[in-house]
Amino acid sequence: MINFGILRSLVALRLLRILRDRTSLIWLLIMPMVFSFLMGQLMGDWGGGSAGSLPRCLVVAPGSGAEVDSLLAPLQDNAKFRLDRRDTTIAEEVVRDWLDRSRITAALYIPADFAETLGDSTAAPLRLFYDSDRLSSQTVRTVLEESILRGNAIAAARRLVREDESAALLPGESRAFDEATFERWWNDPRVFLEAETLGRVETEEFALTRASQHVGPAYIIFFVLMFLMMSAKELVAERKDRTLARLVASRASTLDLVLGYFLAGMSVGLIQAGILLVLNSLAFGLDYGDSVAGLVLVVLLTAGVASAASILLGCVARSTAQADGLGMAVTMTMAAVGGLWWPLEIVPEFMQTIGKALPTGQAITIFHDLIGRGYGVAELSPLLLGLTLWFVVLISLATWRLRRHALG
Amino acid sequence: MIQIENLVKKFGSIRAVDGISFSVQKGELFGLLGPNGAGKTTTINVLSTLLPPDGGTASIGGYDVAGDPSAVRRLIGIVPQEIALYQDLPARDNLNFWGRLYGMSGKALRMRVEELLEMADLRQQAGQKVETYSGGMKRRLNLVVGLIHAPEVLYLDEPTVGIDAQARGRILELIKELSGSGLTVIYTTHYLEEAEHLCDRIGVIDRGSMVALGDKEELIDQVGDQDHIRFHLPTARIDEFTRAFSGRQDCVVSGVVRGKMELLATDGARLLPDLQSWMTAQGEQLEQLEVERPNLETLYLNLTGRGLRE
Ligand SMILES: Nc1ncnc2c1ncn2[C@@H]1O[C@H](COP(=O)(O)OP(=O)(O)O)[C@@H](O)[C@H]1O
Ligand SMILES: [Mg+2]
Repeated sequence: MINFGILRSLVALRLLRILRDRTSLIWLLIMPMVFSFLMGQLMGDWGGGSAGSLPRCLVVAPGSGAEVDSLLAPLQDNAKFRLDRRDTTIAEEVVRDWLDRSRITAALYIPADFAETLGDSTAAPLRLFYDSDRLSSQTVRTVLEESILRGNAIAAARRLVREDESAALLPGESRAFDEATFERWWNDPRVFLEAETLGRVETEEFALTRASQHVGPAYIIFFVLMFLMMSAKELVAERKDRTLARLVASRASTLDLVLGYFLAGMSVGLIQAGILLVLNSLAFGLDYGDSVAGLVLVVLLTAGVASAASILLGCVARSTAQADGLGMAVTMTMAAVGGLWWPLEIVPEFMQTIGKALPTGQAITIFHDLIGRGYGVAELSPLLLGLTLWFVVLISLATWRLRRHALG
Repeated sequence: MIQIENLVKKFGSIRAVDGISFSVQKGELFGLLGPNGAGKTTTINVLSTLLPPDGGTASIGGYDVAGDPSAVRRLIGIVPQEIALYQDLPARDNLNFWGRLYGMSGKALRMRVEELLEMADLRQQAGQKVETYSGGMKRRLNLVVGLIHAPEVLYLDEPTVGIDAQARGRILELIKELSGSGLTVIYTTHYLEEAEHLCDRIGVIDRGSMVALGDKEELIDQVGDQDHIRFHLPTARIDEFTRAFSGRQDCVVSGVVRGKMELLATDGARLLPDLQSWMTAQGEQLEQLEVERPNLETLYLNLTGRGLRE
């Protein structure tokens, strides 16, 4: 049914024509790199430093002092969250609302008189608002509990010190609190717990830390789509000048022709994406996550969808000018709505839903998940399936239109 | 080789091909003659399996175009009315592509490509992009591309349109050579001279219908073998003239046609001196003289009331 000789000659012809045209190389490779570089520079690291986009732990601490600092010290520089310390009071309702809308992952209230109450030896209440579904929130709680435990242990140890030289020492008491000895014993616990928190609960949070993690793949998807959509005019020209009629009247079957066009477009898309992936990783140190299969699948499907869309456009456009105009319009809309120019995570929810229904939105989300969350094929399967569905629909429509519209 | 029966092709309400029938024998060069918009290209497109027929049947080499299109496609070569070439590639790459598409490779392909370049007289320019070629060169390449796989049937759709007389002459020669080698050809044109010069049999098509069909000579016989002589004759002299000439064996006075007196003569050249001397005797000048040899134009005019190149 499929004739590989015919396929080979069709693919070779397409590649020969594209590669002969020097200007097409600009759009194939040079512009994507320029854009990735410029936009990567422009947007820079999100939130500054690699912790820029870490979930925020709000600390409301109107008072200050060494006691507060030592309580918060272990919460500093955590890989799962970052501290945001405020010395003004913030109403509880506000904090709860922020927590609900994921603006913060946890909030800790330290009373203004924290230091004094500690001195009084009365109990000092701390209040923590957190979300047990989130890894970062759980981590805040764990680290805070450890810090409180340590503080309480030090306070307990200090009670064993009899500083009054004249009084006799009771059994177990000493004359001075030896900080170094305490530290040694504290760091060598007899019993400890190794609890593991599973990270899947964090999915609704934005996982990327640097602009290039979004910009790199986004421009790969964008330029693969744009280049193939722009090459749809070649098929329109073939309809107009009747080379397509020659092909259709030749021994090649419709399937041969569609596959030939498809594979040619797909090869171009794959070559383009492949080179850009490597360049991005070299130029911006981009790491595409742990799932090679996921990466390969998303690149294959992206190129496949773009190639099929290009054939369909080539079959429906009435003129080369219309193919260009329509191709550009579709590419731009798909890019904007699908979240290639700005991450879908920052647009309203209904726009996210629309975006993720588009192949561009599906592809970029897969990249985000690969890069930011280290997802594998199993977790990515709904999105991969979405892309596959797009591909099947587009290629079927293209096949159906090709022979009917061979005569321009 | 080619059998067409009552073929119909509609575009919406337009009946572009309206029930035409003809057949072409193996090795024959059949001319499909008709003005622009007559339905020639549409007919060729149906015969090429590019358009499904809306009625009637057409078969090529025994295979029905609608029922077994892929078998038909293996037999045919097409030369579209347009320059159907990859203009950004050289002639050689164009031929190589079509050759490979038809499964040729290696030495056989190289030899075939050189042979066709030779035939099209393009060996010198075979490495240059087609877009740099002259109209005639493009037309010649367009033609030989249709031959790459040595088809049994070749459709030539107005292969000389838009080029100068000299370039046209070369293409017509090429086609004559081809048809001498056993290839079955359907040749469409709106140039009468081409059909007369090239074709064994001719079908005249107008508004989707076949208005005349047959050997070149048969068709001309339909018009009669008489020369048409027309000239200006003052109305006052008409009766006198009719009396003088209607008695003759070698001519018939057909009356006033388009404002002129018309005579049908078995041999116009012999009659003219007599006419001249009669007019002189009446003291009249022989003015606005037309002598028309019998040809397809006359036939066409008679059949459709329109000129071919209107
Ligand atoms: N694709 C089409 N859609 C609508 N009408 C068409 C189409 N192709 C041809 N026609 C009409 O069919 C008639 C025959 O056209 P065509 O076969 O191209 O004539 P020719 O080749 O003899 O010049 C014309 O009236 C033309 O306008
Ligand atoms: Mg035509």
